Amino acid sequence: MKAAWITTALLALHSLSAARDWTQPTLAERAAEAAGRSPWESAFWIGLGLAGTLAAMTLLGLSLVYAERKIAARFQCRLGPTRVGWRGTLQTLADTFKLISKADLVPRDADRLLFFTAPWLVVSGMLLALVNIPASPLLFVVDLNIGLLFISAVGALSVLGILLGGWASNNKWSLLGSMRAGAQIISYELSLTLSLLVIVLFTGSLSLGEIVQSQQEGWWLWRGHLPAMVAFLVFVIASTAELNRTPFDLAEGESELTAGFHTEYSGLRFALFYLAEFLNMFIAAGLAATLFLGGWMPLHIAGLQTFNRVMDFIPPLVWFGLKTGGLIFVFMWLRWTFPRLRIDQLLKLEWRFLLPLSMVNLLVAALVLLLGVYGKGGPA
Amino acid sequence: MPAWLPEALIFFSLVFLLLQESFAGERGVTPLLAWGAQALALFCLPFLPGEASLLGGSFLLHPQALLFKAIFLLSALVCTLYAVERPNPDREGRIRGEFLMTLQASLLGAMVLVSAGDLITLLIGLELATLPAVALSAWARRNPQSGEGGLKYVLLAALSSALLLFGFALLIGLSGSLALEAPARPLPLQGLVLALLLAGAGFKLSLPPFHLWAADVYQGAPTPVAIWLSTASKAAGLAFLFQLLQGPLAGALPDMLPLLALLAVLAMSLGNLVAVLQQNLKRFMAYSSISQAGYLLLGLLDGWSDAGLAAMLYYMLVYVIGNLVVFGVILERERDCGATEIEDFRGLIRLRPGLATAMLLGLLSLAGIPPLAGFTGKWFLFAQAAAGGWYWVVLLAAVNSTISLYYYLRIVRQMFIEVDGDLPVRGDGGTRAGRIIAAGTVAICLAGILPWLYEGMRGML
Amino acid sequence: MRPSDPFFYLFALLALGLARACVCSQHLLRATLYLAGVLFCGAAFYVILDAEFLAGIQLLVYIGGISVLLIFAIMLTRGPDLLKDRPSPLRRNLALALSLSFMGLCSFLVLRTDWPAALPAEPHENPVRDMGVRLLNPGEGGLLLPFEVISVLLLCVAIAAIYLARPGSGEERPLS
Repeated sequence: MKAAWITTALLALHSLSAARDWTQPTLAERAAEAAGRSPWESAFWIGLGLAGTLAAMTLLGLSLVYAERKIAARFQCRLGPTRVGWRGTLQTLADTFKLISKADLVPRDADRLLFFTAPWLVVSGMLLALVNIPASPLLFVVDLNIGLLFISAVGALSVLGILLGGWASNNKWSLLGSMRAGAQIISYELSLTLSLLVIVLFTGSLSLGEIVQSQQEGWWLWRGHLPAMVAFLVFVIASTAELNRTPFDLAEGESELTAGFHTEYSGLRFALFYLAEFLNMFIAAGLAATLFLGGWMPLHIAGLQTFNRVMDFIPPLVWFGLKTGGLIFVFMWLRWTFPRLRIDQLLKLEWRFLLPLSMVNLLVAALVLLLGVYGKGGPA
Repeated sequence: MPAWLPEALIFFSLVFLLLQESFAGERGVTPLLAWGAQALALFCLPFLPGEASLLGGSFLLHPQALLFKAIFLLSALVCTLYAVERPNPDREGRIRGEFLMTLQASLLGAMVLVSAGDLITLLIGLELATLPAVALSAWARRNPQSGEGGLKYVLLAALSSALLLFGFALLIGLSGSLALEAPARPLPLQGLVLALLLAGAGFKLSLPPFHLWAADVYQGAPTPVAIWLSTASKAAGLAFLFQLLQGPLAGALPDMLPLLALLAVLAMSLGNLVAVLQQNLKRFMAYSSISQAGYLLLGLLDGWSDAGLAAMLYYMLVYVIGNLVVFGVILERERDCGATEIEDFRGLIRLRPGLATAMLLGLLSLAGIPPLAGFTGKWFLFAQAAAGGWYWVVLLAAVNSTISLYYYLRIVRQMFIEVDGDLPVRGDGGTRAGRIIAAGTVAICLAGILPWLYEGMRGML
Repeated sequence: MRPSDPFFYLFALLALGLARACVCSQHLLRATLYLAGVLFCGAAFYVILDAEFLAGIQLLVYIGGISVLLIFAIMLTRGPDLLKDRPSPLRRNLALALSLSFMGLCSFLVLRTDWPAALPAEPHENPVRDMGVRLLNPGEGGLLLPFEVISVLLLCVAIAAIYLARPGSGEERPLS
């Protein structure tokens, strides 16, 4: 019975994807192409993109929070949510309703304008990044030719939101937390960007669509030899830090700062911050999957024709989901395993270790590219 | 010899200084790395090809660039030699590699600026010459005046950069090319572009109304840095103006002449009148340098001619040497008695006769007294302005020279006539600076009477 | 009228409003937020002009860099108290007159100018790559020299800034 369900689901997903046809137009391209013909069709595609992104945001938010709680519980030998829905699956939904219906508190001396703007800045930055993530050839809202640059650029909106939110709360914990978060994000942005550049160097493009296409022959993690592997590790470490997750969660260290920059937030605005935190994790994992693990591309091993066929049968969306999900699990694993770093350890790690490492790594990558030794070996 | 050699020397010296500072620990850097590279680069200049074009024309070498580079390297060399003497600019016992490195960067910027073959290189060269100089002017961290000067300098530098960038953006956008040449057809908004570019050059040359930073920065900055600002940095401003006038503004010079004449008169008069009131010698030198920039502009009033160019370059060189001498004496006094007020020079002829004589000759040269070099330089400049028919400007310049004589002699009076009563501390001297000052003084005297320097420059151009 | 025109006017109005708010705000941090908004509109203009790369850089440098730097500076210096002064009517009117006259001058020059037809834009298949190649091209039309010089500039200015900001011996040292 169970096997039948799984097969049906796989077939349904597979029908959503045109196997081996990996150059579907993105939703934005469809809209642009339809613009001359019929404005309604164009509007339909744009609407579909927006609605899909919003739906994905909600679903992802709910499921990631649930996953975090379950996984945390496992690590701590607890059960986690069990009551609401099947095995507690509806717990986060219930919590969301609770949050929305709560009293909306604003501290008396808060700067109301900034206090109200900050969560929306954070969420809008995240939304703008999310539309760029290619989940499958069909579920790809927009493929900017500056995709990677755009994603790191709109990340700035989140930093702005965090800083302003912490300031506007007029609370010392919030202020300290936001400054720590801001400083941490800015510092780790350096090695994060340098590790992204390694892949940009290999593909010669900033467009995420092209980056995925370039991995038809094999994932960059293997094809890029050592530099890509180092870049992948640096990327995972730096994005953990950018997400302010343990072991880098000084910005909201509960024992020191209550809850960091969102101490004073409650109700809907708190939910937004919380949502943004989890979706940012999804974006980081999705980006890592796209850049290093081939995005929606199936795993191929050179010479094993049958194996490759079978792999092709698994739909791209599932591939993307598996890779991203695996990376998200790694982030959660890290969070519930490691203790928190001290601020000086945090800074030393970035400025004395990761940054020089990723600079050298970029040079090595350039050398690898120059000598043309990439593209051989490993699963291809 | 390859045309890029001087720049390469300076660049590698910069990198080595940085590395040495990072790894040498308490032993500190070898100043030889800095001034040796400068001296070597200066020595290389005569052997470079007269004309060269590198990197697809973004780096050009021509006689004018060579002369400017000589001025830059000369003043950088003297600044470095002054700076490595104790006490150091940051008063931390030993000279910091960062200081020398920043100075080298500013020098490199000035050298790139004169050799720039396109607008982007020109702009970035100018920024590289300016921004490290800004940092240098705030170098004495214990001295609040230094910080104040640095802040004023950085704010005004940012403002002038903004104006300049606006001008460059208009220029590049409207002409559609990065080339450093007159646009093929007259640009729209020519006037606005011209005003914006002129403002940028005016800031570097500290011409009024862009002079407001000069006095505070000169007074607050460590003295070797003040020397750098008053010599090479100003020469870089002149070089930038030349680049503009040979490039994008080539056709516009005749229309600009009244404006330039006005600026020149304004700079001379304002610098002189305010200099009369100063009590601090470094502040005084700031206003003096503002008025000197006014004299420099006279060379342009004849239109763009080789004679005018030679006159300006010659005057620039003479001014630089004069300033190196006068500031060298100020530096010595600062080391002896820790202050730079005019009163501290009272009776200097009794205390340090050599220094007093050098100061006398340097000041008289700046005032333009025959037979010193300053007089010859001013003579050529006035002749240029007269040849262009700007007699009222020449008249005003002559009046201003007389006023300047008054305030330069104020210092001479302190040194030579007011020798009774309690004299300030004597100090022990005996630094290398003394030899440089002596050499500069000899140069001032000789350059005024030996004609071949000016003739040689004119022949080169 | 091109389809992008309404967007241009929308963002232009937004930019004007935000710029005014930025200048007139009594609150330093809010002014920074408004400034970030103006800069965001700048990025939008670049997108309208098909210069996506510049738009990305604008966001990255101005919002991610400059605005955040401003906010940090304000937070570290107890900034909002600094802006508690009410400019006197004289100052206000003088500033108004000055900015209006600059605007008048610019409008006059812009209106009076006989604008040349837009320069023919060379079609770029991959503008980012072309830009990169040009920046590192040592030959004709290349920008290798300014590219290298600007890296020296950034290095030296960063080091000098660190030197100036670092506490010297004898001053209070931060935790290490």
